[in-house]
Amino acid sequence: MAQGIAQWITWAMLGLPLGASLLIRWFQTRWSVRQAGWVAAGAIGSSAVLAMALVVLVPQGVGVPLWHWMTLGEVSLSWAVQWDALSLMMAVMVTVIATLITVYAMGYMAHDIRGASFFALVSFFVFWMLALVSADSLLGLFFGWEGVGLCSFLLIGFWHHHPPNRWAAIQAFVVNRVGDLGLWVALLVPLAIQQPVGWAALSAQVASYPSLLQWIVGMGIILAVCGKSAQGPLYVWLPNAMAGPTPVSALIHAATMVTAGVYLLARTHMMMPPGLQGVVMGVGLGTALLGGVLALGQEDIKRVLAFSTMSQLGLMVMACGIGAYHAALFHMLTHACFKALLFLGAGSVIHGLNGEQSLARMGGLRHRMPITWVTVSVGVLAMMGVPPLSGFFSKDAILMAAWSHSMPVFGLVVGVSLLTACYMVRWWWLTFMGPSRYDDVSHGTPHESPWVMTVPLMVLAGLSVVLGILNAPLPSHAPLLSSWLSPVISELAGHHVSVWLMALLGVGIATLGSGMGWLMATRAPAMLPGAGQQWGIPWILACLSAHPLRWAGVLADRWVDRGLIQNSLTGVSWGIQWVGHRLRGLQTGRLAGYLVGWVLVLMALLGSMVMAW
Amino acid sequence: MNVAGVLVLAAVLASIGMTGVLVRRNLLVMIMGVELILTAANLLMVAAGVMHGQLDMQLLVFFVMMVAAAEAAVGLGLLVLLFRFRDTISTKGLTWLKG
Amino acid sequence: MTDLLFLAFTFFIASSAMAVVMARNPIYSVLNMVVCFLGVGGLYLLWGAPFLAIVHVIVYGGAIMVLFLFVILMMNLNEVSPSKWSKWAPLVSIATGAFSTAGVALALHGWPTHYAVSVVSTKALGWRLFRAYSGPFELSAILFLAAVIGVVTMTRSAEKEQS
Repeated sequence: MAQGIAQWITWAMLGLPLGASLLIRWFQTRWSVRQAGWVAAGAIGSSAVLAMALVVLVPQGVGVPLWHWMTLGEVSLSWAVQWDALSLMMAVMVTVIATLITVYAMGYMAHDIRGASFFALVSFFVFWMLALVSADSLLGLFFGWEGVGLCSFLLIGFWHHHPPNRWAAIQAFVVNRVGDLGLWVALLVPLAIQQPVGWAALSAQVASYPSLLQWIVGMGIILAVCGKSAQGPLYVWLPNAMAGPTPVSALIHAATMVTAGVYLLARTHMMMPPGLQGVVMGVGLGTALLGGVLALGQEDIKRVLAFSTMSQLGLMVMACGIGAYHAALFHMLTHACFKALLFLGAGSVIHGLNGEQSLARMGGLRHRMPITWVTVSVGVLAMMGVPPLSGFFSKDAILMAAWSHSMPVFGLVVGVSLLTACYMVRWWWLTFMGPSRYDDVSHGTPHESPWVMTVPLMVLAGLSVVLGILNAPLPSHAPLLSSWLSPVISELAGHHVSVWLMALLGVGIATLGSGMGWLMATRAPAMLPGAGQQWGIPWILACLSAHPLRWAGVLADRWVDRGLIQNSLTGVSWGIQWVGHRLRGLQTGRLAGYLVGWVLVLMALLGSMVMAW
Repeated sequence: MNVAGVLVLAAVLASIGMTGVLVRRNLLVMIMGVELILTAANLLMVAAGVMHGQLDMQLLVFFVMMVAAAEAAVGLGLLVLLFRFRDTISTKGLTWLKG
Repeated sequence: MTDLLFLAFTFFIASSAMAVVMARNPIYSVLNMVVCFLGVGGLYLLWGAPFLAIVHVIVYGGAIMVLFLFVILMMNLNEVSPSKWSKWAPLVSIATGAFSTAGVALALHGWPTHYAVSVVSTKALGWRLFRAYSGPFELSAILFLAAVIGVVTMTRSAEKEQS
């Protein structure tokens, strides 16, 4: 009974966004932005309702087979859906936030001439993201992974008439590709040795692989996570992905697609050899610090948030690395809410200022855009981890996990939290507080955004406030989220520090960071020179990867294609011409010469005939 | 009849004719060399007829002679044409097939 | 006796043939050719082919060589060729000669060398020609017709252009 309902719900949940996407694509020239937006929001919202229904109906999880693809030797490859706590949590998060952002986009993209096709792409993306989180095997996840990568490319480059946007989209896709290579390798290993790729079977079997193969799988997964979640050297695409419309940045590059990496780490938590778990932790921590520092020096309103996302993802990845999966997932959930809120708020500001994106030309907007100001402030407080907002509980969990692990790690996490508070307050101050640095001529009169944009802001603000309940360590009963997730993933068992002590620490960090941020915003807003170019890190990475490849291509063209192949072909023709030229010497035109040749051949023929006889 | 002698004679005659064709540049002499070769062939054929006691070979010689006559006529006609166009019957300047 | 005659005729033939090829004056070549044909005719007589001998002399010596003479004399092709021999002449003659004798030696391998000669009467030849070979005989007439028409056409069109 549960299986039947689950099957229907699954087909509907996956089919509605896909169908909406195709429908909008078909009618995109005839529908207005509003109409397309309602269709998309309706479809995605229905998926959200269905997902929540599943949570209520089958909290213990259910598996839904969809389609058998092929059998590769002993391994059966099919598309099936596995709804357990982890995938349901992701599905609910993705669809709810996507619905809110779709509604928001109806206002943001209202004057865009291609606005309808935007919603087709957003629905398409939601379909792929759902396919990713619901897949029951590494192969199914890979399909969803590629799909969201494609949608990310299409959405970043949505305004493709402006060349830098095209470049940003291509960079996002290509850097993601590097990560995909890792995932591909990790997928190939079990297929090559004829082992199943379903999550349950895979997790059970990997421990029995030879050590080298385990490491290969693990390294592949780490590479994939770095690509998708902008960690380590593969982060370079995320700041440039801000070239896409703000709803895209909010949806894909804050709340959903980039969290797929964390989801992957959670799914493969049994497959990481202990040595690689340290690597995961290191990568996450390093990225968190780098992102935090770079966020301090940015001038663009969205780029600050991009680096902030990168930094927070680093925290989540680090948490996975030390085994605190529940903490990481909880933080992912709360971060999705308030980061989307912050991005949408930034979009509201940009909309209100007629397209201005530089912090240097903002300021004093709290009077002009009050709703935006209030909701964004809630988001900032949640981000800084001020109790009792959701961000406090989730960051708290990570802090406690770090404390349980080791002191240096804890210290660094505290540092990241400090940086977070610092750059967030700087950002908030430069945007909303202080004197206004915009001029009314080019920016028009800043106005509050329409209700389609402000209502999602308010909903997200509300969620940012209350979501902490989900995993709060209440004295009366165990944390809800953790107990729900426990059958799927275990959590690091650490010593518990007093909640009040941690609360105090959180407030202290927030206060100190706020002060530093206010100082920076008022005294030296343009501090950290060179951070705009990220201190040349992308340039270094390009020199290591893109330029050698380009040179390989140039040399291959010069030496192999034009040198070897073309020259050998022309050499063949030259050789034939040379032979012909030589043979031409035989054609003297002199009768006697021809006769001599004729006689010689005749003699040869006769002689051979006689010899044979 | 001494067959060995006939064969040697025919071989020698044929080689003389062949040499004439290959070495001389005067077209007339070349045609005459060809006639010599034909004559050598005729000698061989008559000898073969004697060897096997048949007269059919002699008839074949007859026919060869006829064809040789026709061929000599046509060859001389071509020679006349060549002389009209080039005013010489030497094959020294006949290099139009060169290249 | 016949061997002696054979040697004599052979000498005639060979020497006149060489003269044909080596003579510088074309008239000399033609005349030597006639002598050669006379020798060949003699050989035919020795081998019991009288008809063939007469026909050979008449057709070759009397018709074809006369034709040659006509052409030489009418078009004044009488000039003497330069005495310079081609450097290849000895080589060619030796090569062809050697090849021919090798062929001869191979051909004679295993055959008896002496045969009896019986004279073939013209009547017998005639019977054979007009009975068994009447077809080729008629065809040869067509051959001659073709040759005549061909030569006349070839050499006539030039005259037409001139006039």
